[in-house]
Amino acid sequence: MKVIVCLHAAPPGGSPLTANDREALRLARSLGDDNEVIALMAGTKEETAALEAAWACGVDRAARVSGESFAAADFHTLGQVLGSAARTLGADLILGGARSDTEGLGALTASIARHVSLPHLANIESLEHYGQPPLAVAVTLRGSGRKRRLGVRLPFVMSVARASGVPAAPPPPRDAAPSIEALAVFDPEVTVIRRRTEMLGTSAKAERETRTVASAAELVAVLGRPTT
Amino acid sequence: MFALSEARRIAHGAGLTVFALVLGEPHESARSEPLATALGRAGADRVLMCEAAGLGAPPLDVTHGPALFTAVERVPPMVVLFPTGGPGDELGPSLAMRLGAAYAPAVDMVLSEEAGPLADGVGRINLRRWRADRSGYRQLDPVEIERPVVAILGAHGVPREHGTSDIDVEVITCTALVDPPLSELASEPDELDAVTLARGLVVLGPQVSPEVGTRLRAAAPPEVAVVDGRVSPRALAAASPELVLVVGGAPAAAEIGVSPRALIGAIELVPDGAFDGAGGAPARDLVWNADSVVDPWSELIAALATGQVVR
Repeated sequence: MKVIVCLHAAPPGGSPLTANDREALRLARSLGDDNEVIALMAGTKEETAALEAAWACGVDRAARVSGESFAAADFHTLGQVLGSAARTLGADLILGGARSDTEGLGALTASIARHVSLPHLANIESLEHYGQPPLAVAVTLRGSGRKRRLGVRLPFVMSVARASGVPAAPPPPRDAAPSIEALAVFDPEVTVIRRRTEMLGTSAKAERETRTVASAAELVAVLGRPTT
Repeated sequence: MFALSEARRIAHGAGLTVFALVLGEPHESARSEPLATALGRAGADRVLMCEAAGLGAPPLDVTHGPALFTAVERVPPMVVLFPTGGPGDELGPSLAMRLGAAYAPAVDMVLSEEAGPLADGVGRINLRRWRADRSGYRQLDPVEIERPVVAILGAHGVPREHGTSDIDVEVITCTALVDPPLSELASEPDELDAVTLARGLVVLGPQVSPEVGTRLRAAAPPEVAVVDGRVSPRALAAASPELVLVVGGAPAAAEIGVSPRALIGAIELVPDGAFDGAGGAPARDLVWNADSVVDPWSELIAALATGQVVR
């Protein structure tokens, strides 16, 4: 089975992988050594920290869709780009961290699914091989007040949400230097529709007063008093 | 119901129509009168009932997404609103893709002052999504971006009945999915659902002893969830409460991924035991000494539950 894990360039200064991206990598690797796991992201050659971290986590391949930075791109654009690359690479299962996209919306994997014409599941918490046919997995997810375990026939696109706040044990260190492949975007449609950043909305700064209280009683009073 | 009544409030100001969309099994519409009455009272102008085999199950995009899209296309809407704790996380992003729409979880809706290119008597609305660090927000105006917005409304209030029970119900017969690529192996109530639905969220860190945690949970009213910050990050990320308090060394709200709509209570315990609190943005974490917090806690939680937070 071939599994692609889509990553998003993390903001500068923080961990190269979001917690959900890390969990997506962990679940992909937990399916077993006989599967091929490919880490995929879009960005410039200066934005490969997430791929290097994924390589250290033990992925079999790491690939970057070359071009300009997609850090500010909306999920429609990023989904087109990653979907185009995923089609080129081919995959039975495409995973991505939930809310790992720009602004943490949680829409990137749905966008990828749309562009590769595969079904989508959001916020899975566990993943394991499951019965017949061979390309099937079982997943756990929550929603609408239920916690469900589903048997899923691949191919599929899924977003991964951490089930536990306790960090998983890190994988053993990998000696080999990262090998990151560069992919070009071949689909001309992708270049035509990119940069729909207005889909994220306009940004505004907070316009609220700051209050300082000196006691718990005063805090309670402030919380209970609407302000302008 | 809060999403419906909030939609009613905005629709009243903007001159819009509110459709309530219900997905269900075939012939469920025959039993729809009490439901339509309740939806109308909550604020719906019309009810669209989509019927097909399998639509009564908990929604997944694979099984419910096409039917939802069929119904939404009938309107077509300026805004598609999901309630907190509903199927918005699962269905919303895929619906946005099908519609070519913008998507935003954890939003507030406000009436816009902008005059727009809309017909006379129709106003503009904005959807606001606060950043988790409270430094600012993103604002989406469906007219400005010239496409609809699919959004999940935060748990920021309680339903109000200011609609009418006499509303039209339209039944849409959808095609059942043949040979779906998934099957349900097990299903049980989600023990973390209360976290997702909470209007007030208190996240406990390791500095809060189990005894104190137990007392806080016992004091919390139904609208407030008191949770351990080390568990359930998915449930925390799915929550969109009005107010988050992060207590006793729990991870910062931005790190948790929660996007409170109205306020993060930002309180710090200074060495002499006095409180230094900030009721606005940018917020700091609440690093509250567990012993100090116990006495006023029941009163504080009661204040959280009033919904009268600083805006």
